Amino acid sequence: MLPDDVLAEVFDRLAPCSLAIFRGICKAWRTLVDGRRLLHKDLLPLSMARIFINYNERPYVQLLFCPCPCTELFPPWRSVVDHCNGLLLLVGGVLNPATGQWVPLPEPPLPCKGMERFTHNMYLVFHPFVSSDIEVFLIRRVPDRGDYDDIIKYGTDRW
Amino acid sequence: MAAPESGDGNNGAARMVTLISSDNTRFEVEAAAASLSQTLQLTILDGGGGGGDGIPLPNVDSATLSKVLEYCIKHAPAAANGGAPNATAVDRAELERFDNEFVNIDQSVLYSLIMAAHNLEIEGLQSLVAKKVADMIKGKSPMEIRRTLGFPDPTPEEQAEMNAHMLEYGWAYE
Repeated sequence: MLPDDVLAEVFDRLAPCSLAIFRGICKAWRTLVDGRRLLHKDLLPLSMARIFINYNERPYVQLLFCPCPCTELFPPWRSVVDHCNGLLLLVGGVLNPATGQWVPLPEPPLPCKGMERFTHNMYLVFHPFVSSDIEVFLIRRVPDRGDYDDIIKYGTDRW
Repeated sequence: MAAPESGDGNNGAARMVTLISSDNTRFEVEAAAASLSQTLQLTILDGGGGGGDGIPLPNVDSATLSKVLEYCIKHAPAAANGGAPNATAVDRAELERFDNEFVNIDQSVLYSLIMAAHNLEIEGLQSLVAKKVADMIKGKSPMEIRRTLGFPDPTPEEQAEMNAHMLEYGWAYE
């Protein structure tokens, strides 16, 4: 069996997806992965701190449930566009409601020629297999057609 | 015109160094190839390993060292180009083909390589063996991985912990 230091070096080079699988193989590896914080748990959806609810007919979201007494860190005048791994995509930026960190989004890129009239949807996207970054995707909505053909990734940052 | 007599290593043939494995086999390689090892690089820069002296590597046996040097010799030209920003697609494809073939080896050899890459601090090789380790578990269940790696079957307590892990990290198994 490889010494811990050597194993940690190998583990540190693995994608989070593979690393998570190794963590589940035996107790020694779980201890190693957790003890050295190799898996960035802060990026993973491992616990639930609170639930927000966005009623269709209401312009902004409400805090529905919070297991601990907490002060509201959420700007109540903004509506939630999307959410992912505990982060909220609001109009104009991304909020981490657990820490209160707010990262404004850059100006969206100009639409391609011919797409000016179309509205767009925005999404928070994260897949640990691909990247440890959470990204914002802007997808133009093309009316009367089933496909979206102007997908622009325009904001990427670490939160 | 006569070649200058002083051998500062920059003229004519490439400078060679000698590495000595734990079982006392001597390997003569170009300094540029051996210098892929961060551990050896300083010694070589200080002029070590040349002439009759060799650099002893008490942690690496001859079979492993021979394999490691095969990697270093293949990768040295690209490394000399600063990570080969101007390498052609053909060169890169050839290195990739070599790398894939290189780690197509038994697990015992892979373990020796992982140890050697660690001891000699060869960044590219460390990444390559990690990739191989990741490939070994791709698409396998935790039980299959345990068997692949020669673990005994889990106790009921271990099995319960594995199940709990799979619940918590379900996304990793998708």
